[in-house]
Amino acid sequence: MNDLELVERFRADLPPADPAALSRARARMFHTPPPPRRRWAWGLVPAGALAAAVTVAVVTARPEDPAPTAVPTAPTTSAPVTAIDAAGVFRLAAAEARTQPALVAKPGQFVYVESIDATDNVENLETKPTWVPPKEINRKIWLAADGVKAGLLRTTVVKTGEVNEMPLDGRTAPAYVTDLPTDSKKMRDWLYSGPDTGNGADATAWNKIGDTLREQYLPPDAQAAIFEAAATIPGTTLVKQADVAGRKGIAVSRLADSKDVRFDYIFDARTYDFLGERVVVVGDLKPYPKGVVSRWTAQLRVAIVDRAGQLP
Amino acid sequence: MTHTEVMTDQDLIRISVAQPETFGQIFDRHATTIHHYLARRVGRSLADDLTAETFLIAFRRRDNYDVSHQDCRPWLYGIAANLLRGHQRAEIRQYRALARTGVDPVYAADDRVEARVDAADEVRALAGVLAKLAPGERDVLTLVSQAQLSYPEVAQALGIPVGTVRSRLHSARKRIRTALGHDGGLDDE
Repeated sequence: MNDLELVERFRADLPPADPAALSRARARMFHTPPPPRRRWAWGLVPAGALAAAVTVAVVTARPEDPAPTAVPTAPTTSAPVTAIDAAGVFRLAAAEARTQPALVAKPGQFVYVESIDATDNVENLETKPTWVPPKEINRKIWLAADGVKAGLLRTTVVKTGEVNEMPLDGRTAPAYVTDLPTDSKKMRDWLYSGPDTGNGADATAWNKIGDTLREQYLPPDAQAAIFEAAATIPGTTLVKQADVAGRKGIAVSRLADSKDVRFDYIFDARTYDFLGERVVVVGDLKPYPKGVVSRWTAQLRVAIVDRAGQLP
Repeated sequence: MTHTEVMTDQDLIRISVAQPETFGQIFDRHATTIHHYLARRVGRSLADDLTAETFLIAFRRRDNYDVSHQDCRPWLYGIAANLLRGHQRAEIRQYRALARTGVDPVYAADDRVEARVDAADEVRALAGVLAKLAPGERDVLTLVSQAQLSYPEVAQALGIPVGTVRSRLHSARKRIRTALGHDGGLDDE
């Protein structure tokens, strides 16, 4: 036996991986526990849609707002302010966030988030991969404000009305987030503090914004700090037409390193309320038609309720 | 599970950028292989963790996967080899114990496998060399002989020139042959 054969046989008879261990590893890939929540495990619980308090204002505190399809009117206060660049949008969004009252949650209460999450699909992977446009799903999620009690996820397929309910394991991170910086400089440090996910520090920080806003409640000051910190991340551009769920939006965007895909954070074009996120295929990425929206999320409502399953 | 044999790894990874679930297919294709490689270096228990870690990193980096490569195994092995650097001490300690006692801790410490006693002399000698190799040499040697990668694939995995793969392999083999009491000449590649 020569030297290479000896190495080749060395420990070669170790048994294969335990299937249970592999299945745990597979699950971990898609569902690494928060924080930060994983950006792309949108189909898995509890990651799935967006959360931020500003939407409460859109839905509840602005009854004077026109219907989504109506012609936009000027903001109710002072002269219209128009952002001319990506950083400007973030700064205006931060200013808007700071005007919002904070929601109050007591231990034992639940953060309720309603959103529409639309995910596309690729069918016939094995024969003729075909892109199928995003399917809209209404998500209502209840997560314990203090992370103790088990939560609940109720999904409704918008087109068919099919409802599905799933209990969510307890022991999650508190959905009412109180430990984030409220100062933009410290928030920026925090956004950049995690390990590089391999996409570069800026992309990692960029993704962390969405991970932090999604399906949990941030007090207005922390939310404003996130937007102010986001304004300092390099490589962002402004996309003026980015409507989501029938609402007229303006997006701050960043390209993935591969240049195939663009990630948008979308704000109301008039009020700069945070509306949601989307992913746009901008390069040649088979089987996607160029320019399609691969997935999008619109946050509709955030509230505090007493028990899982209770509507606000 | 969907049959996706006609899709290359490259196709699946590209699709997975926008459709993350697709990356599950990459896991299903290669996890057992990567786990086996890791287990042979650090034992099955640590390999469980490192396999999860390898695929978690791969999953997060999938949007800048070099799409000129159809087979993603070298990429996965590269991530795994990099992670193993963080566990060198554990790896080396086990080689040393095997060289010294003839009992391989990788088997002995794992109640899921039958304990082996009295490894052959040449296996003990090999373990002694593995403990002393430079990390880069150990990576090349095991990727070539255990993972069965080609020289260009090893070069891709470790991000080094093919010439460096050759020279590291040559050096590692020479040390094994010396330890085994063979002459220094190399008869094959």
